[in-house]
Amino acid sequence: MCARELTSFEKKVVWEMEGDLPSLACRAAIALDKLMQREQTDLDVVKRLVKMLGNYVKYSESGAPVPANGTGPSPLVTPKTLVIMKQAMYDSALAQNLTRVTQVREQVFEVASRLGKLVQEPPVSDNDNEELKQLRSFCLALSRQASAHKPMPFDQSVKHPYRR
Amino acid sequence: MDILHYTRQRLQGILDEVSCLAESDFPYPDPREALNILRGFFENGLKSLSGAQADDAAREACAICLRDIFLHLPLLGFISRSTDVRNSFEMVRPFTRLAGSTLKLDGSDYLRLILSSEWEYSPFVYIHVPAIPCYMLIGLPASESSNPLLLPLAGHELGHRVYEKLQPSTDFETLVAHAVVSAAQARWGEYKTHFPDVDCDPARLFEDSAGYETLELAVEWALRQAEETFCDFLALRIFGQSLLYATAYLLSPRIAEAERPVYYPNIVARIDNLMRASEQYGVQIPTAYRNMFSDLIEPNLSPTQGFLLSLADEAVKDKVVPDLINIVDEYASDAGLPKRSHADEEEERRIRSRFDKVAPAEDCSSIAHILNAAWGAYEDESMWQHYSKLRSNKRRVLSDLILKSLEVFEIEQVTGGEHPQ
Repeated sequence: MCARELTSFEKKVVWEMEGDLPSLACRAAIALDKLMQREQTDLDVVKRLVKMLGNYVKYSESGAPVPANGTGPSPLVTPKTLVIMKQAMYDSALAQNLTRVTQVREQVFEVASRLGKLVQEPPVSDNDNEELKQLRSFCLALSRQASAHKPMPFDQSVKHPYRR
Repeated sequence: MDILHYTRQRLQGILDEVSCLAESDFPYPDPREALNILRGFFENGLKSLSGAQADDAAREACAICLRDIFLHLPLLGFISRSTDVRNSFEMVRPFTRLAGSTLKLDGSDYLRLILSSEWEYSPFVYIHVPAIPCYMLIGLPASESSNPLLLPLAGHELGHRVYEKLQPSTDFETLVAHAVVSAAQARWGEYKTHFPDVDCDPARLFEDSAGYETLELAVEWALRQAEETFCDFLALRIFGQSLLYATAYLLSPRIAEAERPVYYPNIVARIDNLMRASEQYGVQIPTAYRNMFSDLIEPNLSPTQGFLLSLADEAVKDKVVPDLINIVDEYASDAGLPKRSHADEEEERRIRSRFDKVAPAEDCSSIAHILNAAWGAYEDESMWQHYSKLRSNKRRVLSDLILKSLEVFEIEQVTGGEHPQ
């Protein structure tokens, strides 16, 4: 095969294919690793993760998380998302004992804001390493939890997860 | 032994296979482009490991690469089989055209389609975003892949693309989660026997983290059921009665010994849903249609999982289906697919009269008309009654007429209906 350059359409499709939560979170963890080591790295993947977290939290136009009103599903939308986010918080020691859905949402909002800040102002001093370490730990935990809650089904009825 | 080294080698193996496949002869460009996309995807995977240290993050990245290989290797097989001459390539362009208009695509947002014959008896699609976005991959069982009467079933697969497109504005997740929570609230006593540790007011189930989490499986199953039901409805709305016939042809009465997948309503419920939607869409239901089907065996779940599945089933049947019927109807109308009317029946009669004369139809306004006319012919036992050779080869001759009509339809679309002088 002549390995020609990908067309812009093909690049766009590849970019979308790389946008699942386990991949994004893992690549974000690797990018934060490189930041800690002061290596050059592309933070686009972190930016994409922040956007994805934002979709789960549902920000209002003012940038604040949408408040729960108790009359409908939480803006964390599905119980699966709730479990993934909560466990990732626990695994990375960012939070404990989150009993209300609102608390989980606020934590997700906070961590998304911290990641967003990193993208806007990449750290330059070693003093920032503790923050980087914490966020890296969250990204890795998020990747693992998202993988664990999106298991590839090996049952007989669906042999391939993309097979309908 | 080195995990990173092994992972790089595995990725290189996939890239080598992609290169080999790209040497094949493809009857149309979309499969070759899909290979190029997969090449880019795996090259990026390889790049993402460059300079990685052997730490926990790199280990996770290797696991994800292995998952990607696991997921995408069957796609390479699918693309390879798309070159098989048993595929009815005449269906590709008219269906892609239909898909483009149904999805309301403009120049910057377009769709590719790969048709393949598969060695499994089920039409399926590889459609989720992580596979190949913008691509519809439709596989028909090899024994039926040259049978255009089953084309309406591809409408179900198109439904997955439409569902995905509508997700941000329609928020199916909220609709379904709400329905499942309502079902749990309505059966609170039973719920408490399965989840005695949940300590919250049923009205606050949305807000209590531990309580809401107990519904994880029910919501996931209901979401998948809702998506599949949406797809059934869209296919019905596009193809009308021919979808009902094609479904019966492929699936009736049931697959013996097969367990019902939790991601679908059981067969009879699925047929009931289609019949409910048929009434609203003006589609005539074939006589004794429901009696054609029986349910699959219910899966062997734990009592709690069984309870959660019943919540999912109930939520979809009672709360979600009526909304989905309306959502699909509105969407189809917006996409320029009018509800069935007397004019459709006239048009199908005209096409049928061409088939009676063993001639392909010209000047058709949609492929749905061709397929509805064809199914009417297929089901009509008196057709070609004085022509024994035609009667004994009815399916093959009718298939040829459909495929030829689709070709004519496509040429007319390309030329704007102008006939060469």
